[in-house]
Amino acid sequence: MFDFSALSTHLTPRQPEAIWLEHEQFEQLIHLPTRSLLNEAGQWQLYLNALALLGFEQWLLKRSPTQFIDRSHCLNQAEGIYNLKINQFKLNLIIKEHLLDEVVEIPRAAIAQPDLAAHFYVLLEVSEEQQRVMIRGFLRHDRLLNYCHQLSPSLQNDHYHLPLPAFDPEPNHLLFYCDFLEPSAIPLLFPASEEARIRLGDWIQGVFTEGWQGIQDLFDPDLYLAWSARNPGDNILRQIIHAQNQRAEVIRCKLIDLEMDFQGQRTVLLVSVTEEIDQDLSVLVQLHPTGEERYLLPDIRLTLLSAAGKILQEVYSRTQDNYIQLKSFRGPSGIPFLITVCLGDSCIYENFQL
Amino acid sequence: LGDASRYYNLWRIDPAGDLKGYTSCLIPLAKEFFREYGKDEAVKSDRLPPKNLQSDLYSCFQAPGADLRERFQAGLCLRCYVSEPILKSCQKIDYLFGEDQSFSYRDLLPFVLNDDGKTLLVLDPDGKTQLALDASGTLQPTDYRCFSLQILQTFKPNARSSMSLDNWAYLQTKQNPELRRFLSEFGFQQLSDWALMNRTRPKQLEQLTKRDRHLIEAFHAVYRRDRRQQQQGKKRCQDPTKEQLQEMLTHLQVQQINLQPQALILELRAVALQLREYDLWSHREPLELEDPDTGDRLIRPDLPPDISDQNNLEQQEQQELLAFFRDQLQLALVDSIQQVICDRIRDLKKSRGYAGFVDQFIPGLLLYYRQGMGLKDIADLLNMSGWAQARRVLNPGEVINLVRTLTIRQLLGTMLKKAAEKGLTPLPPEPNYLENLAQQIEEIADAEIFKAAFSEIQTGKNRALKSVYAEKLCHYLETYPKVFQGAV
Repeated sequence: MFDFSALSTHLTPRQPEAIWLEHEQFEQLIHLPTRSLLNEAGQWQLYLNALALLGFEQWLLKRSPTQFIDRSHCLNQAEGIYNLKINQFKLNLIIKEHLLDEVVEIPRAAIAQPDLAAHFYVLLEVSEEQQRVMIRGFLRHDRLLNYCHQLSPSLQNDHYHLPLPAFDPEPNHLLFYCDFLEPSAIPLLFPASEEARIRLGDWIQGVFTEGWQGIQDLFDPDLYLAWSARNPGDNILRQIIHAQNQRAEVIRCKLIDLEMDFQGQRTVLLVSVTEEIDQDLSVLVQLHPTGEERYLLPDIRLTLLSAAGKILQEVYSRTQDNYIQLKSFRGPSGIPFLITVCLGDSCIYENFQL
Repeated sequence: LGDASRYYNLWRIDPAGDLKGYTSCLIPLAKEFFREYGKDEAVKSDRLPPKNLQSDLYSCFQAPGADLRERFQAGLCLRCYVSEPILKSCQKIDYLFGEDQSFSYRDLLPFVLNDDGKTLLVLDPDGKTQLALDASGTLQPTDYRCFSLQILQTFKPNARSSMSLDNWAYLQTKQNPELRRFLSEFGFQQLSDWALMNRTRPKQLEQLTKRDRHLIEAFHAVYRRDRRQQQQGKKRCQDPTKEQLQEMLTHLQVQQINLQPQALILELRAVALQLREYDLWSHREPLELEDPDTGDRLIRPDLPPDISDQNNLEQQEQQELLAFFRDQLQLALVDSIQQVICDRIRDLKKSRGYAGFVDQFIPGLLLYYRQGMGLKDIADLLNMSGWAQARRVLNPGEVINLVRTLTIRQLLGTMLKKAAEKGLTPLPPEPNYLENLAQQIEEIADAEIFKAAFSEIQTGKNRALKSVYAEKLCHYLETYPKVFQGAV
């Protein structure tokens, strides 16, 4: 918004804000529900977690007395505190005793599991003896996912090891997001499958990713006929099948099980890949209802994102859409991208590479 | 400026200078080298310098057959370049140890930021000895151990999977033996032996002997459990009691370790001494991230700003916007000071421990700002128990932090509305737009108000508190009683 190239930047980082706990807070030490019986180290961690939560709430209360902090569904686990809410934003707190190693471990489940994932992952440092809590930073879910894609090979004991600089050191930004945004601005994406990036180039070679089927396999012939009769003439699917015979084009479909988050509707994600003369790949993505369903639910979003999480294309279903599709796009092999299917602030994503 | 300037500006220690303790210094010989070889051209754009620039400089510096002057100059360019990660590494260590530690990054600088950029140096072909020109113009080994040159000595630019020079310098600085020795002595000074033991995790344990591991495990099983369950009056960790030691010994017997209580406490203290080693807590491996768009490996991945292409507003509009912003900044500052002081007084009244000090709050802050008195002296004057209590009641640093948060939030709201009116963003905005705008506002607000406010309270004696923030705060504090006398 401004151009302030004239203003000098300075190297010195601001000291992290320290929150000093008072005796009376120790006395009302909270007991949050825990999931499992733990050994001593786990118990110590739960105790630190409770201290951190007290400190964090104190910090928040001083800055945003109007914001509603909901810890009614809060879960205290050795890896962190889950399901804390500020207004409708979900937060996970990750608690450490020091950060001299500049590494933050986040369990995979805290990102990939719908009941645990949060909009923000807040990193807190507790110094028990000094009765001090510091907010070391926080990370948005979309950015975290982006790092995870890069880091997935370094997944150790089912934990991602993230470098501290990945976190935004300015805790005020967390307040600003909660003040000025709606939770849906930070979609919670979940991997539709555990597999790594799907290489569309392999499909051209006839090597298919598990879970992706041919059209015939997913739509049985009777159903397919009934279904295509709804869209006479300009049936896109039929056009594609027709074209498939003439060019090096491959179509694969996947059933996306939206039961948990999508009011029970199942949809089919259809991806068509064509190899162009210059060896670029061009891609067409559609979303269809399954089986007997005639229409998609309204307001389902089908989105194309860059690997860095930037939205490149997006379409919404209206009240009576038989299917929705993204404009066909193309590029040289190797380029990563994401396709997401979202309803409300829940999303399922597939991770591709041209 | 851009990144090119990193190759001819050296960060140098400056103990006599301002608060920072370091300064940037132009090295003419390096700049000349840059210009002569047209290397400037390649990096004039905002993009990062091409990768081969660094390796070109490095090969020139290392080539025994090359012109000596060129080798000196290429070396100077690289020495300038690594001075930045060295400085940042010291600041990062300071940051990581957090507030309240017994040292600052300024104490670390002499160990590692010891290149004055004046001595012309090359490396011996053996790669180990630093050579300088003597009076007769021949290369001689030198006693001057320049740390930036040591970094270059060990750097392998062409090895596959090698890390960037930035990251190499950053890590080497943290591994510097003198710096580590200093940190082992002062880094954990605020923590008792027992608090250090408490925070030991598997990562630290695996670097200790098996016996030491058992000692710590037994300690955790007893001491941490009791610490957790002790509800009241939590303070500095006390020495383990006889009963606790006895219980630990029972745990240890299972591991075939048999000791007397007196010997146990000595051994525990010996373990704690090892735990003061900074290296045990730090990391040895770089955790770099690759920028998905450029493939560059970065310490701090700077995420692509999504509004950069919206920056080309007309000059005049730009000026108007800035003028508007500055007015709003002053307004927001005054509003926020008022809010924070009122909240603070309300909270003190409610506090069990400090309600008795509520009437000392405003006089205390005024003594601090108007008279330049330290917290210890204020505590004596206002009948508080000491420095720590005065800090908890007055907490000038936290007051600034709170005012800063509220000021920036108010500005953010105003500027978002303004941006929406101009059609620059929808409301609510995209997360990245919001973040970007917040960062821009913070940068200006910090430069104009808060940077000075923070640094003036960090100086030692003879403070003069004359920042814009101090003025506005005092003005409010001096009118506060009048405002509220009417109300009561």
